[in-house]
Amino acid sequence: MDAQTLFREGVMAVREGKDLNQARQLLLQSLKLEPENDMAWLWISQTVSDPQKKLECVNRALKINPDNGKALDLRLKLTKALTTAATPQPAAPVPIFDFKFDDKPTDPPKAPYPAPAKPPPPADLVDEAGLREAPTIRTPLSPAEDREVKDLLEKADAYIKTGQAEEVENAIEQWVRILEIRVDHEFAIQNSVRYLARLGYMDDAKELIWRAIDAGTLLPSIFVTAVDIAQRMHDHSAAADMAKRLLPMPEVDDALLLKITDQMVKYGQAEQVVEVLAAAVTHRPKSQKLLIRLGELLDELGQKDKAMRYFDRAARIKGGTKEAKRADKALMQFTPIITDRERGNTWLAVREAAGFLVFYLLLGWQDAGMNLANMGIRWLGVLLSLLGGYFVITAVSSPQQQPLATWLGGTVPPPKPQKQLVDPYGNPIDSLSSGPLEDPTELTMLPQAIRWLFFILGAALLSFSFYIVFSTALRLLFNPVPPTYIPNIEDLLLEAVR
Amino acid sequence: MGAFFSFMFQILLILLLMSVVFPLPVSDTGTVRYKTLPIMTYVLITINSLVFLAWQAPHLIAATQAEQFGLFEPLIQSLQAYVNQIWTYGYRDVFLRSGESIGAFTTFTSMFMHSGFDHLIGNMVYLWAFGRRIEDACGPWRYLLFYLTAGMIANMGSELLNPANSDIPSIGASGAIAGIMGAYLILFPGARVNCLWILGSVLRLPIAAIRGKDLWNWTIPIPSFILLIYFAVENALPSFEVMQQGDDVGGVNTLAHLAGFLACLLVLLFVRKDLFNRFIAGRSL
Repeated sequence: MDAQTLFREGVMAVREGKDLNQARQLLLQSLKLEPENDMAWLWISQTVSDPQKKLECVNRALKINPDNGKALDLRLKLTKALTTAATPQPAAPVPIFDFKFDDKPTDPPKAPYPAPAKPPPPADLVDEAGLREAPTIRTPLSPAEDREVKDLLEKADAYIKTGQAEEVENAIEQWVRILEIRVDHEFAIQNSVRYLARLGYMDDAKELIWRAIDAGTLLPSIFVTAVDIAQRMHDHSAAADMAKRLLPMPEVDDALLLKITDQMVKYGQAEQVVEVLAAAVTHRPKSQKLLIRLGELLDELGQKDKAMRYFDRAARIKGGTKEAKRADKALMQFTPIITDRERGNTWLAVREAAGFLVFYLLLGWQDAGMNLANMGIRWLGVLLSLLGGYFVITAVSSPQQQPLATWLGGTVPPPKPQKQLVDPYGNPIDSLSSGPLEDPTELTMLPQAIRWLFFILGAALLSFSFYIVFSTALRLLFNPVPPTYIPNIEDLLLEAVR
Repeated sequence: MGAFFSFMFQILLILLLMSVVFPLPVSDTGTVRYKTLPIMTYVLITINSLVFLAWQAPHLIAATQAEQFGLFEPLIQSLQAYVNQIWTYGYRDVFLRSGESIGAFTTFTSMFMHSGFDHLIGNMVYLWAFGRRIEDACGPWRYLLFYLTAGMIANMGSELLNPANSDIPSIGASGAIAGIMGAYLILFPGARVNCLWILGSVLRLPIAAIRGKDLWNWTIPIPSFILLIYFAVENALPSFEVMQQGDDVGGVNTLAHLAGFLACLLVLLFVRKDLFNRFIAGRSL
């Protein structure tokens, strides 16, 4: 029988209303032969009583033909009817599995199968066998169901082992039946989806995966497959969405996320990968690998300003690691970043002030005739230079030291506008600005008046210290004493000749 | 115009002669990360050059001219004036202990004086090669403070560590520049420095011919740690001899070079905050 005949008979069966299951089978068979028949899905919607299932069918019809007026009307009605639907319950995590991207079927898991997780909302399957109530991940498998799953897996395995192409569909059928029992059965879903995709039934493959996800599965492998399917169907926003849903899962490690995002990049979706990775680093702020990958992508996209910040974050997490070195190497092409960690640190300011102390100590030491015992009052000058240096440093380069800035009534400064220089053709160019790039700050900064006060006080202290430590030299500068001995050039020449 | 070309030719000749056997660092191949215009390095080179060219060199030029014309008296007068400058504003222990000349201020004046044109050129080339990146790491003002601190330590070291009661004035920027070089070794040991090295370029010829590369390269990039450790050892060996036996003859003040080089540790007080944090964390600078 051809598709149209099956369709007509299916419609007649629905109109007669005698055997809706039979009607559904006919319509599904017609769809198998003619997948683009949107009206078939609309008629199938009349064979089920559950509004949720009806809506699924209508959505399928609209996917094929978005302008189908009847479908649009029906969806509107169904959506209104479903507004009171219950919200899903959170589910417990499930054990981690090994994810594979290759096209070979995976080995069936050995019984007993993983215990079902505590799962959210019920969902149902649309498959070639028709729409029917399917046990969900909420429902524990009964011993009978467990046996049935085992039998179906063995059957599917036997079909696949024949190596004949026509038996693949039979194997898929077995796996799909398993999915009626356990909507997110990992082995069944992965193999059925893989073979459906290979046979070109991408919509069906997607449907199986989305069913499991909508049912509230927490198996990461299903989300990984969802990303893959969405990519193949060029539904990149769905792929990004699925990838984001993987992020909170504790079983998902950095390597898996990078594998997924690298695949997405291969499909040319770098911008969406940036979104995914940006979300990922909020979940895993200490992941150097993710931060570096995000930095690399942003760099490739020309967003160097953002890229360097992620590289910097990665490098700061832990020095000496392979990743930190990689981040550091990448950072070498950028201006370094100054963050609140440096701004707010009092010891770093004191360190700079210690430079003044050393300088003044050397001055005083020489002024005291290279004898530290003769320093006398100069020691006071040396100590004052530390204080003066600290005031100047605080005013000029470290006005956000904590808690000093807060104690003295400082406020968080507004973000500085980023100045971007452009060349005559409007292309951005790097400026010859001195100093590192300023990261947005959350620290308070000393009020301007206090900074000026500190600067004046510091400069005065440094001047006074200089006067004390270099007193002899200053006196001699204004009243030089001629050296008691300067050799006569004639004597020097004669000595050289001898 | 002729005088200008003659002047430039003299500079090139000095550079070539300096780089025949040993590599002469002329520039840094590393990235200047903070993009600081090396304003203070320019300023220091300018002050050093001006002090020599405008203040010291006229006496030497006058002496050369007097010698050419066989004028003994003007020759003696010019040389005496030059000697007076060095012995009045050079760094002498007696000035500090007895309060002569301008006292401890000579620690600064001596740093900007040079004994001859080749002395000046040599020092300024090293300052340019290594100073630019240290200035970038410190910022101009802290770099200046570090430069002066290293210069003072070099001056003091040459007096305090020399057991001979010598009264030979020290002049030259080399002590301060040795501090800059030491700082470079601490901060950027893996960086490569382009060196003018005639012997190296000649030795490279057969290798370049075999590999099919450009036959002649004026500069050869050499890892900074090789250059700088060589510099330290080159100055340390004679310095140890001076420290044991004393030296009151004069010449190259290796002790000042060594003392200045050892002042490099202080650079950690002068580098930028974020760079200091990266250094402590063992990260790339």
